[in-house]
Amino acid sequence: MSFIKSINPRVVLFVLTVVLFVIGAGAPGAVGI
Amino acid sequence: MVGSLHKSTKYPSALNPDMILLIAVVIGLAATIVRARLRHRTLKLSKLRLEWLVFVSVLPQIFVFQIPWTGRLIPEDFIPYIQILSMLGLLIFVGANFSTPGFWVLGLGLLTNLLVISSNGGWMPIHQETLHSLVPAKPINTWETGTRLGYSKDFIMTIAKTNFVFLSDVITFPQWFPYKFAFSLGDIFISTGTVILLWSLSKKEISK
Repeated sequence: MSFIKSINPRVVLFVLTVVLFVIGAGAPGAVGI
Repeated sequence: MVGSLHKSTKYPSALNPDMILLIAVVIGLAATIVRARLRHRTLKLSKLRLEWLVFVSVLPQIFVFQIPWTGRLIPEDFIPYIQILSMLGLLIFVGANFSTPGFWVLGLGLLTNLLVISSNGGWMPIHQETLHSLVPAKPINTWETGTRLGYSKDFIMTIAKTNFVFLSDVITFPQWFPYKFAFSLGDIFISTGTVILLWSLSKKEISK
């Protein structure tokens, strides 16, 4: 799978940063049923 | 008593509201990987500045909002300070990376959420009307104003006492949507900025 080779640790760190940013900056509310 | 009822019954641990925003990460990532593969490109990152600040800023939020057993231990009086300080840290991070694709949209989302949260006592306002539209089967007074919605960033407020109502969690999906979320204009900007940022990873390299 050549496209997996294109994902390096820097990309993983980058995506983790984005995920944390989204969690920290966003503020949705949810309810269960 | 009613507040504890909200926490125990209306916010199941399996349903984390931030999951809806992470859909943007999944979409952006999938799209950019597909584009990279189709165009025979390698994902190329811009060097982000102050990445560590995101980890430091968001870590307290993880303990407060994401891990129920630690969230329970933190007094609600402290949470607005944690929330606002955390978002200010993220604002510095955005400022340091403003020239990176998508960051001005991310910054706009962060700023609008920060504005509505800081002007409403450090909580994201949500209203009885919004919650009732999410779950019409339950009577509107199920949702008591002046209480926190589960362990989320949301506080149930009246529309009349909310500053910047249009920036609060007033947007909902149609009834057929299986998960019952309310989100803000800022959340939409953050999702859009995330997709733009991730899409830019597979852009064509400009030869020098």
